[in-house]
Amino acid sequence: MNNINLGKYIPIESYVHKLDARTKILISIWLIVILFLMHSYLSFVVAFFALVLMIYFSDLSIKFFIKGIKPLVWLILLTAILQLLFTTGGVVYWHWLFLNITSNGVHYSIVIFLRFFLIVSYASLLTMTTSPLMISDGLGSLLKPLKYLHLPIDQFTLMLSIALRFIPTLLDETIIIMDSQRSRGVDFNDGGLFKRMKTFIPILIPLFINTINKANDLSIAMEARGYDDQIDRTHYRQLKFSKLDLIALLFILIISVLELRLPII
Amino acid sequence: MEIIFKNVDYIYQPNTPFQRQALFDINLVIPHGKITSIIGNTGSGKSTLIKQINGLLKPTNGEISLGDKVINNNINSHDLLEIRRNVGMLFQFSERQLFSSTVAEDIKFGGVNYHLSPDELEHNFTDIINLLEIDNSLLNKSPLELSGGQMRKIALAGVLIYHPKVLILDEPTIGLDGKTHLDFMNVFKQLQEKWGLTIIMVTHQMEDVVNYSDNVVFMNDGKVLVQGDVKNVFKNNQQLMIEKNMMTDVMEFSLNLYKKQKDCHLFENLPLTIDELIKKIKLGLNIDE
Repeated sequence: MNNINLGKYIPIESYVHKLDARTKILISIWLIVILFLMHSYLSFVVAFFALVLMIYFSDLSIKFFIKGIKPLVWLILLTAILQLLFTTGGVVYWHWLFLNITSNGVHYSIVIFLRFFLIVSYASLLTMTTSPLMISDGLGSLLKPLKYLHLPIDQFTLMLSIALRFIPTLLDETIIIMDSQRSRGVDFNDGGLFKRMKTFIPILIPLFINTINKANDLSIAMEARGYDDQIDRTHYRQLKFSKLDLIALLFILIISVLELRLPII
Repeated sequence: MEIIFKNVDYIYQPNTPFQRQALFDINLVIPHGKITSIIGNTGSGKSTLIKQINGLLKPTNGEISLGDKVINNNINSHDLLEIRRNVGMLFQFSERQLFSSTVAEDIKFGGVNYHLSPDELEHNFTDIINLLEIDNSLLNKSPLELSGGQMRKIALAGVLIYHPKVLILDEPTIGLDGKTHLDFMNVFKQLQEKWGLTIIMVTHQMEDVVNYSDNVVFMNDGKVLVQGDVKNVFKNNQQLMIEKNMMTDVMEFSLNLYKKQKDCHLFENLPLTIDELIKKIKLGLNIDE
């Protein structure tokens, strides 16, 4: 269970880690949006170059990064292959029943593969370099204007940060319960689908009970420390926009101009 | 069942940025049919150590032998199941693992998993109900209706149902009241004396170590600092135990007394238990037995 590293936050110090969470969220969204506006292979080369540069400045090893997104690459590959087999138009290279490979299919499947690969990379770079709490603080700050429409943004971000905060706790709890049922003779790798599903009952029931108890304790602890959803909350961690953020935004501006202006070849 | 650790290392999440070595070259002998306490500060590797014994964690290097079975990094899951049947483990706050709709069902869960015959299951069940003095009226209740101490008892029964030869206890009495604590410790003593179980207990309560266990293993930063007979370990390493604050209340009291009365040479060697303290006081006051 501890081996799931998909987008797990890596607490180290680097230029990318030091960036304001809002900057990183905006940059990620922007980069993903322009991925859908570009069609030239040269643009993708630029996008990959930018990705490598960003990984370099985040002090993550490329090997570890690739290992982290590997499980999703297979899913993307499957999508690309389906695209390859079902797209019509252009020169037909191969044809069998309803399947065919055409020049359009080849082009679109490559573009789709690159696009999704980059989306996953950007998203995991964001979560690997920004702690979940910072992400929810950043989102809260970005969504602030919606308060004027009387949307409960503060409560929403608090819910989000509590949910994110409790993922590792629940994961640890799951491991403990699994270990204790395992030592009582449960074998999670034995038997068919139905039998395996049944082995999860002794895990899920205690997990639900403990989670509800924890939620109850948490709400009492919050009230004891003066939480009130009618009052504006102040933050211990302040988000600060620095020179570094300006440099990052400039870098992204150059990259996006390049990606959008490059000729189609 | 004698348990021997040979050069055991354990590394959490190797080859990732989260890599952390928890055990360094552990060599250890846990004698058959005795109670062995494992002490040490939080983060010293106690929990990691006990999880190696029933294969919840496999050693990165080295091996652990239990009787004629060996646990190493390449052990297969069939052998593991066999080992887990012989090595019962009661987790910290074990009441949290209960899930069945009735107490009786929850107790029998492990026995069913290890394919005990119906006769054997019923026989073991009555044995354990009697040993732990679980009231018959509780058996058809939901485990969630019980008090914390009762729930913990049910969890212990759920481990004993398949008659393991080794029992591992991870802070078994944490958060219990004084009376229930004593009940539990006496049950463990009975299990060792009457059932011949080899018991391994992680604890922060030095009173339990000196009063109930035969052997002690002192862990520090993933290494074994000292191990051996309880009295010997505490008496021969008095300075270390004081330094690391591994003391019983009696030891602490005697140390304070000695610090204030330097001429009181009787307390140079600190007594461990109340009985030893009484003996020393009698000696000091010249009272004959």
